[in-house]
Parts: sequence; C-alpha cells; structure tokens
Amino acid sequence: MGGSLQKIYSCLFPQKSIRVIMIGLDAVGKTSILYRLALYEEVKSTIPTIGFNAETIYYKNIQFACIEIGGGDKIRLLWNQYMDVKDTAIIFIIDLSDQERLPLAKEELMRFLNEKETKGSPLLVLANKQDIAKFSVEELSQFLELPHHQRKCYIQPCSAKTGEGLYEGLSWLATIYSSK
Amino acid sequence: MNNKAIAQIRKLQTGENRYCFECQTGSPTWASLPYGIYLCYNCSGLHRAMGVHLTFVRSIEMDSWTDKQLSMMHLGGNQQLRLFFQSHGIQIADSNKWKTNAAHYYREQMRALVNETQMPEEPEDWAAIHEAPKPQISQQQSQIQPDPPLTQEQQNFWEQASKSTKEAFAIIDEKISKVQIKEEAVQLGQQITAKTKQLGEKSTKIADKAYKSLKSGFNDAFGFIKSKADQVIGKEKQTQSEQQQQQQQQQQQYANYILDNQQQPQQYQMGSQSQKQPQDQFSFENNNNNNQIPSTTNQNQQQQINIMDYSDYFIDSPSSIVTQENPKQIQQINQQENLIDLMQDIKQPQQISETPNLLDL
Repeated sequence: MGGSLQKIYSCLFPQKSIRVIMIGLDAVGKTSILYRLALYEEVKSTIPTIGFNAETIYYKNIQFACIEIGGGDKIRLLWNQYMDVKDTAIIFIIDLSDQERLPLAKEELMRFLNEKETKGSPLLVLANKQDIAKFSVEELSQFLELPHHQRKCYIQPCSAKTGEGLYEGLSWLATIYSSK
Repeated sequence: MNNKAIAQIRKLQTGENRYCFECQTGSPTWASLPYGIYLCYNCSGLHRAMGVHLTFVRSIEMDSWTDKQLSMMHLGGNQQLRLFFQSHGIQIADSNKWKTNAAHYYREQMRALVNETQMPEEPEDWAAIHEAPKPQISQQQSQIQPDPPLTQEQQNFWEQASKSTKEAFAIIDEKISKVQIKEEAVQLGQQITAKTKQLGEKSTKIADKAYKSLKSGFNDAFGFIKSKADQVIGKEKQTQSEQQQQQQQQQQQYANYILDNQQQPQQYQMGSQSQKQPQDQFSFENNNNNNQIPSTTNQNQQQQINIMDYSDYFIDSPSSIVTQENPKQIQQINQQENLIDLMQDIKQPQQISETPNLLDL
C-alpha cells in the first residue's frame, strides 16, 4: 500500500533538484563532509581544494547538486561567482575546534551574505568537528548573530568523522524546498 | 604585501627547506606554521587531516600571510625540527610524532617566541603522546546539568504524568489495532460489494430476459384469447338473434296458446328447451375456457422452464415468485366466467403491470 503510493507520488512529483554550494574557511572539513555524504564512508585525508569539487547527493527523494569550493584566501573571493543560479542554498561550515579563526569565519560569512547574488537563499551553518569541539553551538550562534537580514538560517552541529548531524542538516534544507 | 611575503619565504627556502619535511620531494609549496616546516601538496593534506590544534597548514602562493606567520617561518625550519626530534629520540618516520610531548613543547616554544610570552615547561617524557586537556564545554555542560532535588509534590506530579502518558499510549495502541481491523473489514466489504455487483448485473440480465419472455408469452396468450373471444362474441350475437327469434316464436306460440290452451305443456317444454340453449352456450364457454387453460398453462410451463434455466444465478429462489404468480393467472382465468371481464383484462393487462416485481429482485 505504502510502496504503491510512493510510486504514484514519485510519478506525479519527480525528483526535485537543489543546487547547493558548500563554503567555509580552509581546513574546516568541507571536502570531507562532501565525500562523506556522497560515498557514505569516512575520508581519511584530503588534499587542499584548489578550484571546486562537485558531487550529487540523493536524500529524501531530492537531488542535491553540491559544489564545494576551496576555502583558500584567494579562492574565497570567487564564492559569489557560483551563486549565479537562482534558489541556490548555502552551506557554511565552521570548525568547532578552531577558536582562533572564528572571527575571521564570521567576517568572511558576513562579507559573502552581503553580496547581492546571495539575497534570499537559505543558509545552513554546519558546525563541524563536534567530537573535538572547543566551544559549544550556543556560543557559536550567539557569536554569529543569526538570522541575518530575514534569511532562513539553521545551525546544525555535525562531525564528518563519525557522520552524525549531516543528514539532519540536509533534511532541514529538504523541508525548506519541499514547502516552496 | 603578498608578493613580498612570497619573496621572503622563497629566500628562506635554502638547504633542507628546498624539500618536503615528510616525503623529501622537491620544491614544496605548502607550509606548516607551528613548526615552520615546508610540505608538498599531498603531505599538506595529511597534515590538515590531523587537526588545527596539531598543525596549521598554509599555502605559500595562494594564502595571505601575516607578519607573525612570517616570523614563525623565520624561526622554524626543516633542519631545526629534524635535529630537535633526533635529540629527543623520536623517529621522523613515525606518524604519531606530531602528537608527542616533544612536538607539543616545540609548538608552545615557537608560539612563546613569536608572542613574546613565557617559555613552556619541559616535559619529563618526551616520547609520550601528549594528552590535550578536555575542552571546557563538556565541563560547563556537566556543571549546568545537575538540577535541584525535586520536592514530593513534583515527584508525585511527574509520576502521575508518566502513568497518564503510559495509559494514553496503551489506548492509542488499542485504537491503532482497532483501526487495522476496520481497514481489513473495509477491504472485505469492498470485495463482497464487487462480487454482489457482478451477481446483480447477471441477475438484471436474467430478469430482462425473463421479462421479455413473459411479455411475449402473455402477448401470445392474449392474442389467442382475443381470437377465441371474438369467435365467442360472434356466436353470442348469433345466439342473441336466435333468442330473439325464439322469443318471437314463443310470443307467437303464446298467442297460439291463448288460442289453444292444450298446447301449454309443450310450450313449457319449449321454454325449457329455450332455457337449455343458454346452458349449452355456457357449457360452450366452459369448453372454451377449458380449451384456453391448457394453452396458458403450457405457456406458463415454458416460461417456468426459461426461468428455471437461470434460477441458479438467483440469490433468493425466484422460482417461488414465479409459481406464486402462475396460480394467480390460472385463478384469474378461472374466475373470468364472463368474457367481457376477459376483454377488459386484455385492454388493461394486469400481468404486464405486475412484471416489475421480477425486476425488483
């Protein structure tokens, strides 16, 4: 009964595709999160991303076309070049174990959110490296002062090493785009 | 600014700094700040996976450099770190060398030199793995977690609440089971209705056939009755004319009787004979009726046979209904002693009006 209904539903409403860009400072775990979601296994070590990685993630009958952009100082300026398509979701990743660069992360995030290309797109903040965290998510949310400009925001603690919290963030994005 | 930083680092890349610290490949383009060492592209990935608290990797060409970071690169160097590890008995090929107390001391020393703070204390066991102090969040959370002890009223309240929730869950489970039974019953009912619909369609077809056969049979029967009745009416007219003639004859005979009184008994005999003629006529009618009844019964039997062929499809035994009607028809025909009543029945056939009873099955 349920399977047939699901088949009918999938026939009537085909898979949605959401375009997502994953950004953040360097060495926070963007590439690890992307390949954890795409390959369902822990990636031991990654090389610094120069340019971008693109993978497709399927979750809850929704196709997430993820573009993960490197976080180097010079590549950060190219983030808004990937926002040319409308309704692109933003995933900003923050390293919970890196307390020293948190002000820099906030500065970069606010600079990116003030760009005109990013107007109205939902923001998912993934607080990575929860297993070796040095500050809590509540402190992070107080520090980041979200939501910003009436944008839909959500802070989700996660860990690319253990894989917890990643699909909760994706399901939040799915609920936003399914309600539209 | 950035070009100047790159130029400064390029000037520092002499001697062992021209090779990667880990894999000894040439022309490294990445650097680990806490140690001031130079790394290749692949080894920078390995260092990044360790975590920011152990090594912090920067690209020489693609990242911006601050003065403190540059001074760290000035202080450190591949040769210096290698000599430090060798002096404290740590092999460079060991992958856990970055987690040891020696590495931690080296990091703290570099940081103290750059920030001009106090130098760290030397550890006792250089080769032991350095245990980082637990982060402060978990301690804060553990401090927040213990709640004040509950009073008896609150305990009772929470116990009642737990009981009520358990009862509610039990009721919900029962209702869910009932709902499942209901769904099963609904499915069974749908199957039954589908089968009954099929049977009903079949029965309506059969009823139509029976109705048509009955109608044709009755039409034939009434046509036969009408033809017979027309014959009878024609004869009745003849008999009436004969009676009139006889009455005229009687009148003439009565006139003759008045003239001749001796002929009275003969006249009575003649009257009796004249009265016998209608009896004959009546008997003829009865004979007609007797002739008609078998024909109708034969037709009824044929109808019964037609219906009996389909009687298996009927849920409520239809043959009883048919047998109920047939005696009525026979009784009607028996009761129709006068042909005029029969004629009225032909004009307003009651049987056709009664046939919808079959369709109401």
